[in-house]
Amino acid sequence: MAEIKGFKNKKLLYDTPQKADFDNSEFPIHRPQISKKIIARPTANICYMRERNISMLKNELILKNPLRRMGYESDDILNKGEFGAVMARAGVGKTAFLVQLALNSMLREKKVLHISLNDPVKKVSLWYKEVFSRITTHYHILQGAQLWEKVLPHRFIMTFRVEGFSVPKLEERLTDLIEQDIFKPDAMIIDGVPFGDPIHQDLADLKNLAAQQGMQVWFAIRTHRHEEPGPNGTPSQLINVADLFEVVIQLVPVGKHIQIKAFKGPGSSGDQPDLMLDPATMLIQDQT
Amino acid sequence: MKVVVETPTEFQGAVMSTLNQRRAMIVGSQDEGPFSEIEAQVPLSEMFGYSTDLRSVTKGQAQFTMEFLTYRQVPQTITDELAKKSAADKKNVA
Repeated sequence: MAEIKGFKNKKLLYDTPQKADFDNSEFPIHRPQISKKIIARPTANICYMRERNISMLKNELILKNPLRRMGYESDDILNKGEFGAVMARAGVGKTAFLVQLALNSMLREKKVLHISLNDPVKKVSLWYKEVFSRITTHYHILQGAQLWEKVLPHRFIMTFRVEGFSVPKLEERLTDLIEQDIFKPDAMIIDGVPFGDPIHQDLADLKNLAAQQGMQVWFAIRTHRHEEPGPNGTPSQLINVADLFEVVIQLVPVGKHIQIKAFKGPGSSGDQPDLMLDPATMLIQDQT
Repeated sequence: MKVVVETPTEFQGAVMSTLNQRRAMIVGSQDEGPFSEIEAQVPLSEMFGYSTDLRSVTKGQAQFTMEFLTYRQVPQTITDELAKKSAADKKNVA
């Protein structure tokens, strides 16, 4: 039988290297390089996280949440029908902070309605995915994908244009969702409300709605460097509506870190824990 | 499957209802003035005949796109139904 030059050792392609492979200079055979390191890796460290129950992982993440140290009565921080706010300048981490609050609720199987007036659904969704992925990496959780599948149904994103957002419209949408048994939120996050405009009446209506539906509501409030704060250091955006908020948390850049301070509410008096938002990962961390 | 429905805002509730009936997990809704976009994750097996349903609830004014997203485990109730159906089919053949 005639022999084709260069292919005489074809059957050896996936075997161990043979001298004949290298002798064939005209048609050199390139073998896939199998790293011996991978094969020789010890298996002792791979084990046990995979067998851990998803609910145990959830509990672990809940217990490790640094916000528990802020001294609030419950993990929710707010009670039903109450308002909370996260204040910071642009780009400091309001959304990242709120997403972590939302993820903490979702892990405890509470439903979160995230309303954004700035970003499309895709971007908000990406925020959640990114923050969750960083949390699982930070706490060395290998079953992140499975856990994500479990918490995802507890979130609903709604986006509006700023000019198109109103409380009656929100109420209409919410009623649709609840009546059709699609989604009944326990918490609501509203990002992008322009607090510069006179909105006391709108917020009061929203508070009534929140009380009716038994929801807690978190807002992101953007402050500005050039605006003079009011009495007690209250930012100008909050002066007229401060009475509606039970809890206010402030994110203050200090050097290279972002400090988390309770401005109003149970954690604001006395010694506050040294919590910060890590600028690299945007995760809430305990400095002690 | 990732399903995105673009519908006049007035039909948003009705569209969500059609998706909900098909075991969808609705990711979110995006208000774009007169139109709304609803994003959902729906099993492919539930999507047959959806265009007819969608047309009828929105008076033909909505449209949707569908693309592969991921594989997911079938819920236990559906698995049981499938097993029963398969057993019945086998009996009929025999």
